[in-house]
Amino acid sequence: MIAGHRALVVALLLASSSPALADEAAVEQPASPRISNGRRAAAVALAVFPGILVRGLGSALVKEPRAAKRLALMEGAGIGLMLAGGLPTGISGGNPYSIPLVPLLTTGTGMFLSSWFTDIWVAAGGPSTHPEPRARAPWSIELGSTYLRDAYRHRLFARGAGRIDLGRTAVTAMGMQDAGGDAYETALGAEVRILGAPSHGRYIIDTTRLVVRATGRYRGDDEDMVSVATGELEVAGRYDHGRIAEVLSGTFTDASVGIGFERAGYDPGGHENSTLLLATFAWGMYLRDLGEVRIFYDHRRDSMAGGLQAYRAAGFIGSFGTALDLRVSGPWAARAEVEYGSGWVGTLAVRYQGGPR
Amino acid sequence: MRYALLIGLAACTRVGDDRPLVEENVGTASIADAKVVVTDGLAAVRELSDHRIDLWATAPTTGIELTLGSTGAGAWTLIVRNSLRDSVLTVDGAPIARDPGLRPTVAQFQLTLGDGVHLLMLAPPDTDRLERYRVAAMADIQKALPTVNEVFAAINAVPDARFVVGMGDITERGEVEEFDLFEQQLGTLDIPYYTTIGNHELWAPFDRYTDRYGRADFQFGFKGATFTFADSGDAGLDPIVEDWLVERLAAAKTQTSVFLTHIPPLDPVGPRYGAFRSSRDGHRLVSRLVDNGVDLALYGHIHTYIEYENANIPSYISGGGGAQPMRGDGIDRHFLMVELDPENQTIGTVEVHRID
Repeated sequence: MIAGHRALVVALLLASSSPALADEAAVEQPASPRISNGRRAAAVALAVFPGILVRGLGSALVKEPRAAKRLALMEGAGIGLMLAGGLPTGISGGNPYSIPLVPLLTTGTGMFLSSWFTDIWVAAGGPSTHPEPRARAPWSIELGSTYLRDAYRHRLFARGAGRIDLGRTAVTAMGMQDAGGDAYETALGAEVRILGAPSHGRYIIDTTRLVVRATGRYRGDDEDMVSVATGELEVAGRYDHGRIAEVLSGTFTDASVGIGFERAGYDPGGHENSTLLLATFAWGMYLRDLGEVRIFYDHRRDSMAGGLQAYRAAGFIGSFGTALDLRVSGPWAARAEVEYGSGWVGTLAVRYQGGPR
Repeated sequence: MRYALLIGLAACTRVGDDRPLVEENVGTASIADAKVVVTDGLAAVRELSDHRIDLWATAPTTGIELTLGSTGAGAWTLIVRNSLRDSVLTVDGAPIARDPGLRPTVAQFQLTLGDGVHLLMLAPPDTDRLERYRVAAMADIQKALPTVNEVFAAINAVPDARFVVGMGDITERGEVEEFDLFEQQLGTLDIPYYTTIGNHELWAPFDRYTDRYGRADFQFGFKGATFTFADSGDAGLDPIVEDWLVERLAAAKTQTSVFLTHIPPLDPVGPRYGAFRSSRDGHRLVSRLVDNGVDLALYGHIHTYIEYENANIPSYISGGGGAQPMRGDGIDRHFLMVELDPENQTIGTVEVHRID
């Protein structure tokens, strides 16, 4: 896990231009250069390909050379981490001693992909959308439903969740119950904010944050004849791309690494203990002051989504998804999420956000 | 269109594609005036032609129902490859002499058959005798096919090994040339090799495997012990296979029961995730193994040797057939010798035999 922490620190320190400070005032956006429609279309096309290989082409074409250079550096750092994390595992044939390096691989992949998506975003005129992100609300409660469809299960869950921030500490809770009565899941967590703006719900410039969180989960499934208790410890962070170049404000990279301990009890008898590697990455953008949208990867296999059927590499890759968090009106927000791994998982929820607006 | 999309989405989460359906046809074949049905599909019918039947057995005992019409009556040649050297053929209860001079695992017979239904049974004399015996177990040959004869030679040197059970990945890409080489190398092995598939066989069309080596999901009993093989090549079990598995394991509950599949449902080194792509599916399978009294689980996929337990079921990962070995584990190429103790409905010793 030490290696994983190092990866996160590298991510956070990348291209360490002077960070914008948290500010409760509305954001002033930098002036964007005038770009013709044709040039912008070409920039998007080049950012997609060969931009997937050579980062910054899109940004350079829309006259954002600083962003282009910084994104290329981000790509390079990502490739470096991917190699540092992936090669030992690949060369050693999965020797257990190489596994602690895997978070470098996932974090590096996150940086590699984030720099690509961000370059496309710049080329497409993303900076002109004037994103105005907000800090988390001091407290919130959420009600919704989650749908699961996989090879064995076809379920609809009712779910409820809540969060309250008390200074640097936050407490979270979640519960889900299958409408058919076959399965349930619960989680209780605590989070300590190491870096980032307090949860006051107001506008902020720099959304970078770093938290340490501990979560306990318990779930049961009658059809599977198993119940599982999990204890998790994670370091999770968000890196505001405004730290890389001001024009990139409005996009961000999320990453987390951690470890979990799992105890499974089987209804017919017997149990077993195991450990989990927790690692995620995501790229996202703010939707003016309405919320955010993210695309993400989750390396864990014990979630509802499980791991992707990655052709003949099935078993080694986790799940992908996208999440939309939208402030609808006043304190009301909506959340929609779709995740695909060994199954499809969809969530729709309505959230009430307490505190100032 | 909407329904097509829904069906498509559901299909994407299916584990085994259509493989469980494809293998239903394994073990049956017919031509004009001749039909072969192998009991429980425990052999691939490689050839059914004019008065000639060529089978690849996937079990120590092979039952065949042969139906002949009037033009099918007469002299027949029956070849059962991958069979035990001491197996004996009976046709409608009468023993038939085996052709001499062939390899120990190739049983060939000359038959004279009239029209009607004939029941053929190829089995060693001690099939139903409950007593201790040993089998070899191995997996993950892949790119080491050119040198796997060295592993086979080491197995041949174990005098009481009755047959080999395989946990998949016999090839790297499922190419025809690889299967040809595998079969050529099996020519150096004096006992049969019964195996399921691994993820590496799935690089090729599934019927390329089934046409040669039969079903990937199958079960046989021998001397009071039951061996149940399941296809986990997609890092999971297809629901059709799970239904079949639960039914078959339940039927074997009073016997010594061995479960074999390529990918372990749960990786004993949890963070490595060299297991089912959903650990929920992995736990689900383990609960069914426990519920149905499985005495031993054998897996491959991870190229090392690990002895551990799945909810108190003794479990082994043995991926030492020669594929790129795990570095630094001090194991490299190896196979297991597993002792079955059907009288006491348990497993005896499990030994690791290293090659290098």
